[in-house]
Amino acid sequence: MLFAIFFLLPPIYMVITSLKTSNEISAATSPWWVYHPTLENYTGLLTSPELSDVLPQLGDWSPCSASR
Amino acid sequence: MSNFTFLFKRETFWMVVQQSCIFAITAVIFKALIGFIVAHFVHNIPAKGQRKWRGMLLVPWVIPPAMSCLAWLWLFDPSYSAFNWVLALFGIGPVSWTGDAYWARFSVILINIWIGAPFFMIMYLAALKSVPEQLYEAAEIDGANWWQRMWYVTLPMMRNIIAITALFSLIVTFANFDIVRIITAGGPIDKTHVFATWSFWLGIQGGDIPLGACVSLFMVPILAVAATFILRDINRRGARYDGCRSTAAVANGRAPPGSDTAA
Repeated sequence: MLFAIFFLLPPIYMVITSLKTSNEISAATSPWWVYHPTLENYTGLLTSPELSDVLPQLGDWSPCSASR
Repeated sequence: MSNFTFLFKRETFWMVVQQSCIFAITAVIFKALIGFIVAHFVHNIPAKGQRKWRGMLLVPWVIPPAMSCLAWLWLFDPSYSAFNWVLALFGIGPVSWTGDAYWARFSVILINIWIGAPFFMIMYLAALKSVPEQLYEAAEIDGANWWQRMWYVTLPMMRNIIAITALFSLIVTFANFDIVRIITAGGPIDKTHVFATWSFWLGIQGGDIPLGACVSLFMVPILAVAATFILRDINRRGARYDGCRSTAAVANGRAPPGSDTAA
């Protein structure tokens, strides 16, 4: 159990941080808890123009080809 | 040769040599130790839940190091460190994880252990699964306790895997770049530089490519010596094992395996 915590701590912290706003990250509250969870980071990422530039570079996949 | 003589006269170079050796040796020892312990735990879990645990424990090794280092960087952040927040609950003052030379070394080694331990775990788990159950049964009939079974059955059967894994990991850890680069960038005051990061700093950032090449080439003799010792040991043990098999086969009235008559 101890090793599982050690191995999973950073990815879990990454998930927790991804659900926070910048204000909540810099607030003096527990960094291990999300008080006001938000998906705005994910929606911001999925709608950003940079993503559609990056995805085709990962292979043949692109949002256009996937929808076909 | 002037690049090499110049390097040998620099105090930072010897500090990098020392730091690289401490970094690689400490990390490999702890990765092997944690990998060994975790492999035993996972091996003893019933087959049904084992796959789930194996998958979970492999997560650090699967995530790209640049991404996981970013998570660690947040955890070690001087202002918002989540570790310092936990320590503060116990009344322990804030730790300068990346600002103090000692803690910065500890941090980069810890991250390297975190990333590399699952590789050891999966290799050791494979080795453990290949140990014939009859050997344990025979040892148990002979009255061997847990420690004796470990010392006289498990470890000898896993020795080659342990040696090969340690060698691979030593090579990769010695040449590690991303962890130190992302977490400390060699600081504070060059105290956490390893060969790869210092070579990058001199060659690419400093614009002195020949000097940077000299630093990275300096890894070769160190790794060659380590590889020679480890591989020679494996070969010697392999030859001894073949010799034992041949003697046993002849004693049983059979041709030794691999000989012409056996074919």
